[in-house]
Amino acid sequence: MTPGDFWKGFGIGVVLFALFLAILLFSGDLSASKFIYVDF
Amino acid sequence: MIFNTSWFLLFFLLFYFFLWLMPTAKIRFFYALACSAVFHYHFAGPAGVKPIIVMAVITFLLALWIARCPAGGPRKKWVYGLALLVPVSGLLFYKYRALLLGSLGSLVGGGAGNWLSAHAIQPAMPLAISFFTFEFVHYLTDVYHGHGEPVRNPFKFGIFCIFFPSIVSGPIKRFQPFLAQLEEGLRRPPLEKALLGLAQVLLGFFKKLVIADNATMTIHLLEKRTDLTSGPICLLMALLSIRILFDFSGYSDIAIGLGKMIGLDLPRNFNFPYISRNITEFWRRWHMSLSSWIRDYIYIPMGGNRYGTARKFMNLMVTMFVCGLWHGASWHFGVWGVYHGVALAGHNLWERSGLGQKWASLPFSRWVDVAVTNVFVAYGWFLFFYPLDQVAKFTGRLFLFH
Repeated sequence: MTPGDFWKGFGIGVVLFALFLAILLFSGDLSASKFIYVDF
Repeated sequence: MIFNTSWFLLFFLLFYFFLWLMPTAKIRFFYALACSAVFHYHFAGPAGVKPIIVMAVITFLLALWIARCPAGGPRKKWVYGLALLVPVSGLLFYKYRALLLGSLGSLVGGGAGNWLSAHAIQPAMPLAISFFTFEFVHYLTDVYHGHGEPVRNPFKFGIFCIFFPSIVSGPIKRFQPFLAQLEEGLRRPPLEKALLGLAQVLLGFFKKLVIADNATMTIHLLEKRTDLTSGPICLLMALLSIRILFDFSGYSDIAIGLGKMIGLDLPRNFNFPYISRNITEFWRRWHMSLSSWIRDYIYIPMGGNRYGTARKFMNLMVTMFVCGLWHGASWHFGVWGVYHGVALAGHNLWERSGLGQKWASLPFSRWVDVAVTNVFVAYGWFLFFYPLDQVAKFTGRLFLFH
C-alpha cells in the first residue's frame, strides 16, 4: 500500500462518514418514506 | 419501503454475517437462494409468491422446449408465442385488468359496457410483477433467437428470478452476464469490491432519505395549496425532477451496492441523466436497464428504424406508449410515454435538419440544449405524477404570470 492509496482510502472514509452523519441528521419523514417504484 | 425497513436491515446484517462464514461457493449459492426466497415471501406474501412461481416454472420449462425445437421451424415460433403469452397475460391480468375493462366498458356503453365495467375489479398485484415479466420476456426471446443457452439448472434460474437486491424494482437483469458470475457458485467478493458496494449502499440511502424524502415533504406542502402561481409551479416542477431522480437512483445504488457486497454485478441504471443535451441522450442515461430493454424487445422487433422515417416514428410512439404504461396502470402514464415519443421523433428530425446542424456548431448551444431538455423533462414529470385534469390546472397556472 502506497501513501497515495492510504490517503485515497482515508478520503473515501471521510466522505462516507459525512454521508452517514448527514443521513442521521437530515433524513426526511422516515415514517412516510416509501420508494416511488416499489408499487410496480 | 423495503430497503429502508428495520426488517430488511436486520435481515441483511444476519444474511451477510453468515454469508462470510459459509465455507464453499456452492454452499454460499444455495444460502443466497434460500435467503432470497425468504425475502420474497416476507414482502410478497403467499398471494404474491404463487403467481410468480407458476410463471417462473412455465417460463423455465417452455424455454427448454424452445431450445429443442428445430431452428427456423414453425413449431419453434408457436412455442415461443405460447411462452410469451404466460408472462404477458399475467401482467395484463394482475396490473391492467381494471384499467382495460373499465375503459372498454365506458367506451362500449349499454349492457355490454355495464358488464365490462362490473368486471373491472383490480386483483391484488404480486410484488414486482412488472419486473418479473420483463426479465421473463427477455429470457424467452434470447433463448428463441439463440442469444444464449437456456438455463438447465432450476436453482440457477431461481436465483436469476428472485435475487433479492434486484427483485423489487430492478435493475432489469440479463441472464447471460448475471449467471456467468455464478458458474462455480457464489464466490466471496474481494474486500475492496465489498467496501465499494457498501459505499454505494450508503450513497443510495443518502440520496433517498436526505434528498428525495425532503423534496417529497416540500412537494406535499406545495400540493396542498390552492393558490399556486407560476413561480411555485416552477419550484414544484424542479422538486419533482429532484425527487424522482434521487428516489430511483438512490434505490438503484442500494440494489447495485448490495449486489457488489455479495459479489455480483448488476447493470447500471443511471448515468447523470440531467446533463443530457437532448431527449435521445436523456433516454440513454435514464433508467438504462429499462430503456435498453424496450429498445431490444419492443422497438427493434417492431422494425426499429429499418423501414423508413414514418414507420420509425410510429414504432417510437408505440414503444414509448408501452414504456409509459408499464410505469403504472393509468392513462396519464401512457400520455407521458407519448410525450417523450413525440420529443424523440422531433429531435430526430431536428438533428438531421440543416438548422439543427448549424445550431449544434454554435459555442453556447450545448448549455441551451441542456436547459431546454431539463425543462422538457421536468414538465413531463407532471404527466407522470398527476392525473391529466391536475396537469391541466398546473399548466394553466404556470402561464398566469402573477
